Amino acid sequence: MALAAALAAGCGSSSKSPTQGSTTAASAASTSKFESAGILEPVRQAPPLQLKNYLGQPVNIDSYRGKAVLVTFVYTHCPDVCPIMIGNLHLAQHLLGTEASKVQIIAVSVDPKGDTPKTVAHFLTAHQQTGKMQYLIGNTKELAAAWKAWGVGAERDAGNPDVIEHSGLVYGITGSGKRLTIYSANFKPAEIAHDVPLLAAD
Amino acid sequence: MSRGARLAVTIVLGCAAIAALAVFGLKSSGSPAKGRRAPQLPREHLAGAPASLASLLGGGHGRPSLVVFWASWCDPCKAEAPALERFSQSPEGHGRLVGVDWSDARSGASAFVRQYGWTFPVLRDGEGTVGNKYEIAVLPTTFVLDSSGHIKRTLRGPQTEASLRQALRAVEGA
Repeated sequence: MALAAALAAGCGSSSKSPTQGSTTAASAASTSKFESAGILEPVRQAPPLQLKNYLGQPVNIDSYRGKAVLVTFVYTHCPDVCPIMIGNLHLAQHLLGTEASKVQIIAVSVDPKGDTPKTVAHFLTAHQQTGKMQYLIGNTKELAAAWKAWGVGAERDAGNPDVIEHSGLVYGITGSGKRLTIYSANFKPAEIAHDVPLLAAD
Repeated sequence: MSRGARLAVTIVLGCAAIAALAVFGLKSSGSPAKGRRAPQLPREHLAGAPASLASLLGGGHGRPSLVVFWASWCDPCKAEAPALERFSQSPEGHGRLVGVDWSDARSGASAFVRQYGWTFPVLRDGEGTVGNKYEIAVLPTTFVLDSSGHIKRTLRGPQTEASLRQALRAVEGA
């Protein structure tokens, strides 16, 4: 269990351990198939994820069956790790070339107040992700339910309210909807590009 | 320790390292020299005079040079921006600095350059491939190259004219 907490503890503005919930990470392992990613065991269906994007359109992770889905938790004015993660996800898309159609990236807000349709639209434009990445927002109650379901910790820094401590991870979801892989914030884009076709086919 | 446990420890240590760099690196003044050859710079030109790794090293007239990775969406980069322009205009900085816009929309990057009145050469790494080769972990990041194009120091976080000058002198004196 300590291992599970250690693996799921993320980066971000500072490390934030996951809240307990339906997170089922019990061990990490590496297989020849996924050379660098951590493997979440036991492998289970991904927790539900149904929120609205910044355009007010409903998004349900289940609608992306057949594709690999990369789920991460960020906020638009995150000063350090999140934008680098998003940049590296962008590079992974680029490395995938035509196979980028096999992946859907979903970012879930950890900042119900700061992530507005306007700030998210600006964020996606700046990161060249408009029309590519789904960025899900909502009120505190809606987002907190998603954080809990995914075992993600998100909490304002008491000393600096502009900073949100949160789990800085990327989850890899298979084409059949299983939450299988986990990547730390300092993942290499080539690793993601390597794994996406495998996740999509699983 | 099992293979899984080792991987978990590796991931956690990696996370801790990058978090530490991100949080504390913003004020860091440098890291030990790696001495590896600097990867080629992006070809896409954004502003200022055309530039390449060869022209940067040549422009330095046998002196160390700086490659600064930044992005318009990066708040610490905004804090650093005026200092970069001042440094590029100084006798010690003139011709020895190239900016590289990383994983950024071109429109936002161009507006940023105009806003801060940058006159030094700026290139664009729109997909982030070059920055990945440089192994940037935070923005801004400044690489100090010796006259032969080897990375001697890596400065993470916003720099000042003084810190840039000091870094160049340190490499010159090495």
